[in-house]
Amino acid sequence: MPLSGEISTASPLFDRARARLAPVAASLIKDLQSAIGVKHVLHAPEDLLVYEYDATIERGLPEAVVLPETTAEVAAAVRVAKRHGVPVTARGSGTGLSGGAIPCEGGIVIVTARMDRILKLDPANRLAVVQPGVINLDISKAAAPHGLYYAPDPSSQKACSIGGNVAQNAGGPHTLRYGSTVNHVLGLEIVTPDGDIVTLGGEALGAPGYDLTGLVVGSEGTLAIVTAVVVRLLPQAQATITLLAVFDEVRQASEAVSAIIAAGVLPAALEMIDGKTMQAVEPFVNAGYPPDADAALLIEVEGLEEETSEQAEAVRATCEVSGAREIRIGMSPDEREKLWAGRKGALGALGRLAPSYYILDGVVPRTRLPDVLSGVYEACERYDMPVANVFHAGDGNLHPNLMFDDRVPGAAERVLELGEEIMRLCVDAGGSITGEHGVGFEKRNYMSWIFSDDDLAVMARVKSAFGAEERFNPGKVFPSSKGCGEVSSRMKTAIAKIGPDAYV
Amino acid sequence: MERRANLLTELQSIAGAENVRPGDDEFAVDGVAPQAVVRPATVEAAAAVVRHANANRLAVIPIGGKQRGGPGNVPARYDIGLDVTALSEIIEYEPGDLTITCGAGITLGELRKATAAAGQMVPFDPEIAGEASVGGVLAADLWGPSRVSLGGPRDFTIGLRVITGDGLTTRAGGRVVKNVAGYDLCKLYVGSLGTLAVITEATFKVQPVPKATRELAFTAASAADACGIAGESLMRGLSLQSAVVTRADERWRLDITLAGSEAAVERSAREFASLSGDREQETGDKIGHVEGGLIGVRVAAPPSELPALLEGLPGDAHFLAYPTLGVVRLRLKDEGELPPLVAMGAVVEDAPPDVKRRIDVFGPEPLSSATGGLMRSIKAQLDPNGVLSPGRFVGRL
Repeated sequence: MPLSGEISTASPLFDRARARLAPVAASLIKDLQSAIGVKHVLHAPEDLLVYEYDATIERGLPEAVVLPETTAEVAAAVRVAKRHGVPVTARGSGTGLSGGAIPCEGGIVIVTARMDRILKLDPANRLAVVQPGVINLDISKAAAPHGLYYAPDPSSQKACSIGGNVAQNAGGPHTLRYGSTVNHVLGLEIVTPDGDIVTLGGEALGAPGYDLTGLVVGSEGTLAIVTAVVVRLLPQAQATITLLAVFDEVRQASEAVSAIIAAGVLPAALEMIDGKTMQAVEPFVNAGYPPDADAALLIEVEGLEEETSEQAEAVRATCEVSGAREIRIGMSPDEREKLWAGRKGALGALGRLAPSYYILDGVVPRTRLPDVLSGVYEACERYDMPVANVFHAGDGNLHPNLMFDDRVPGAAERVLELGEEIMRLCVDAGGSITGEHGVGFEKRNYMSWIFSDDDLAVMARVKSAFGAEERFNPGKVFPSSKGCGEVSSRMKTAIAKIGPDAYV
Repeated sequence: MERRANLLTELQSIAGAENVRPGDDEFAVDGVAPQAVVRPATVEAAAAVVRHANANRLAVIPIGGKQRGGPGNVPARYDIGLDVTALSEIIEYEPGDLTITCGAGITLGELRKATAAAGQMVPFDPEIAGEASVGGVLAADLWGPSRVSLGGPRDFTIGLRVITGDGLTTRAGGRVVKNVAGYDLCKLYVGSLGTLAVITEATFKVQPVPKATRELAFTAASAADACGIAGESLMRGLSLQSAVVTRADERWRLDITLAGSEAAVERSAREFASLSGDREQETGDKIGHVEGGLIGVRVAAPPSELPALLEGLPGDAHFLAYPTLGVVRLRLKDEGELPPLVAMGAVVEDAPPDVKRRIDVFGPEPLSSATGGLMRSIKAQLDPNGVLSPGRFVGRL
């Protein structure tokens, strides 16, 4: 958490919180308390401040925070909000990277942390029904004794909630082969902005009607609050092999990505770690990264033993042809874990290189990767801004991490400017402004780069169909000149707060 | 009749005289023929046609490969057949990106040909002729047995260009395989039977064609036995592309298709053979469809409940089941067989017009009030005047 325990309630931060709280009607708090119990409604400034943040740059202070335990309590809280005309923002674990959980316009934050039960584990039908506060990895842990697991694996999977994953349509390294959250959600229970409880999809395939499940996944909490999720579970792979291929040049590595795909191999994961990242990681994890290599690919293949070894061999040969100077192969869980350690520890290690860093999330068609990556390095050089790239290369999903010192005047502005330029590179290459982190607040004004006014108008109409207007998670996804809370004035300092706690 | 003459003239001025003709039975939908058929040469012209229809409250149904008798209720009204088959080019195909963008009027056959040349495929395998259009397959959300391994249209459709009921030409999704920018409206359009928008262009994720495939089959003691072995094959991670359970002359049978590398298929075949034990081996035959009958019906259930459902079917029922998906598709000889299946939540997938006119293909009460309310609101937002395929969808939307 960005805030630790040492802050005293005498801090000016709390004065600000108190000032913001002044206009809150006592009746709102009272109504919430009678709806879901006094104990689970927070309204003291020192309690609210904790919910002002997520893992990104925006901040916005709620007027009240509620921690419901049941769907009925969520619906009750939503109805109270409607009656009082205040917006509602849902919050899972607060690990999001686009400000999705930040109450930009105040109001009520509904925290799903207490809705953390796995309601049903059904190995025979390879599914589970879970409450939104269940942690991603806990589903796989619960399913493991049955030889099953939940495939989407965002890097924050030890901490992030399934409700947040559904809201953002979370991805992860294994999206390449298995798809994003939406491909693994069979049904949802939601609460609408009117406080109605609605079931979408379900445990059996093909319920007649529009695919509202698919629509709500990735809608960033603007259409509905998810109160239960039916997730598909996959059988664990029999065999997994992880390869690490080290290259002298980034271009060789990014060309190897396309070559692997062209060879007809669809790896489970295909990640790139650039030289800057390796240098940062090495002292921590002793992954054995050569200090002078410019890039490494981390490639995982899985399936039946026979197929896996064939694919590993194809990948090895392809990387060799593409100029890899060294290829390591991990077969056992220990060996594989060691190869992954550098990738998984990357973000934390980057904290060593600069006081602050800013994580970008863009997507390009896979074949454009070499050019766009060169463009990214060129732009960063022009801004004299160190960059570390560690990302989902197989999907063309870039995550440049811009490193800077926020104490240098103007540095934060330049980071945002450069970030925008890099997003432009992605869009100009036929890509998208976000592959897995979401639009949130930060990128809402980039939406018009990839969508026309009519495209956005149709999305807004769908929002109206849910009666959502600006009642759920206002200020997100759609372009607007309105600021998030006090963000525009505080963006610079907030950026500095993104640190090793962030995931990518 | 005067109205019809006007309509033709109006459409001719919008889309070009050579692209408009009087409606006829060739373009009939469930026995209802349109007044006029227009085959626009461009998306812009198609949008202009929809705007004209919207302004004049004329009902439009998008038409692709003219596959008859498919899903959907009998249209409440049908004035203009919007033939999208001129929008049939491959717009962008970069095999290295594993994506392809094409006009909605392209046939499955042409799409398959284009991707096969690069050793790739869009994993469509619905029980429908290769002349079916991509737009039609998406609108009807048709899928086949390989859904268990390769996903359905909702999983591999990553971008769509559509025309809304009031004639806006808009895009949803994009051309990259991973994209979470904005609402994923592709999910809404796929399976909406042309009631929310006219699909004019689609972008798909493609996959490498498996290096080897093999079909295997054996006779099983019961539905539970056949379904159980299919489930076990899946759990063991065998290279299962699809599994189909059927019954003929009181004998249950499981057909599977294996797909992957040579070695993986070989290993899977060995393991499958040992799973099947001393059950009688049959010649594998990739069963894609069930023949005969008058009415096609689909029933879905959790896979664990499928064996009981199958055992409960009349001895002479014609069906095939996807055991790992929990779906059974039946062919009925006549309408009289419908009621017990409807009670189980069956959806009629195809039927002759006279049968369709007497029923709601989605069942008597297809929508709960809350879910139905959301769907009606979405329909009203995207097709405010109700001109797109009126009456065809769930709840007669």
